Amino acid sequence: MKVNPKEDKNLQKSLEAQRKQTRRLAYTGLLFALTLTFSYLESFLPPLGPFPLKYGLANTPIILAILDSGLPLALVLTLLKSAFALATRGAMAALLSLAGGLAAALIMWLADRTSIGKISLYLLSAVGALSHNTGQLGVLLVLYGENMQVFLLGLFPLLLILALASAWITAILTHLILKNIPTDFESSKK
Amino acid sequence: MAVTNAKVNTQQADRPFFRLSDLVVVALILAIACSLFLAKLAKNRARSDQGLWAEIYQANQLVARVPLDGLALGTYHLGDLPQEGSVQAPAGIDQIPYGLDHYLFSADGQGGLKISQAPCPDRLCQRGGYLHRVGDLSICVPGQVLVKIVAPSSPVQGEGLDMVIGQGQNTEETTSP
Repeated sequence: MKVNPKEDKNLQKSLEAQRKQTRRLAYTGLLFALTLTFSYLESFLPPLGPFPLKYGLANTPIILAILDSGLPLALVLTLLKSAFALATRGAMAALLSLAGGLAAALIMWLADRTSIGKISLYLLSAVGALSHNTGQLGVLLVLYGENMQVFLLGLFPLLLILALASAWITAILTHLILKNIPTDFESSKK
Repeated sequence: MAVTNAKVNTQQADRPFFRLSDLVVVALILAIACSLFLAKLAKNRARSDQGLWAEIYQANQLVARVPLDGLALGTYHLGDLPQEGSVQAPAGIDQIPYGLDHYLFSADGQGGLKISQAPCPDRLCQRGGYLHRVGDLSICVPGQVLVKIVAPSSPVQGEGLDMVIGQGQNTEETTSP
């Protein structure tokens, strides 16, 4: 049977578009699963004081999303992470997760863009962790600043140091995952 | 899919893990953190530890002031703590998920107080130690309960925020530098 080259080309394009869409869906699902896993594991770590503040380890999938697909996917993962926190730990945890996650995603994306992709994994993770903690602290200051400004600002040095430490772990995790992602999951973004 | 034979995402995998120039950023952040911490430490040490009070808030409203000097070792309901004035229920109490009658407070007999029992799911506030120094805080976020140690009742410069409290009370706000 003779194949019309034009039709064949259109078919190939269509198949490739479908393949990219499926690949993106699979990759998004994989990143979401990683997000939930890291969030769940992070919940076993001791909290930072009386608030459900987190260390930012669950930023690993966010970093992967930024490196691979850019900001939109990172924001989607942040929203999904917050929804998970809402379902499992309540409204305050969800609000802190959302504030920290949005700040981290945005600042990491900006850092990656301004460095034209040359920023190291550790520094990117540190930027994310610092933004994450600052975002959480900002929300607490807005909600409780009237009574707790001194205490919250006193917590800030501890958050800075913990961010540097957790960035190390996040960067190692990101590095290990990047080394083992097969091209079947590679983003269509060029 | 043939994962074992697949190539890795080489572009991102080649991204450097760490650069020596990152040490500059790390050192800067550590310096800021240490400076803030030392400043807070120095400020706390300058305050007197005598005649301190514990202020108990719910929903940002002062409910009780408890003198810590001479507070005997033991566990107390809010109504059992020695207080200045009478216990005031916060306005809008219906919106608060946990009433203060569900909380227990423990004193260590050495001028320290803490929340020892809370009805909230996480009970993070119970894990903290006794509050002894001015500025020490214990907070139950779901119940909107806050226990704060303050200096003797006359306002002192640099003591941190005085609270905006209840209706019909004079309020004074000062902030620590």
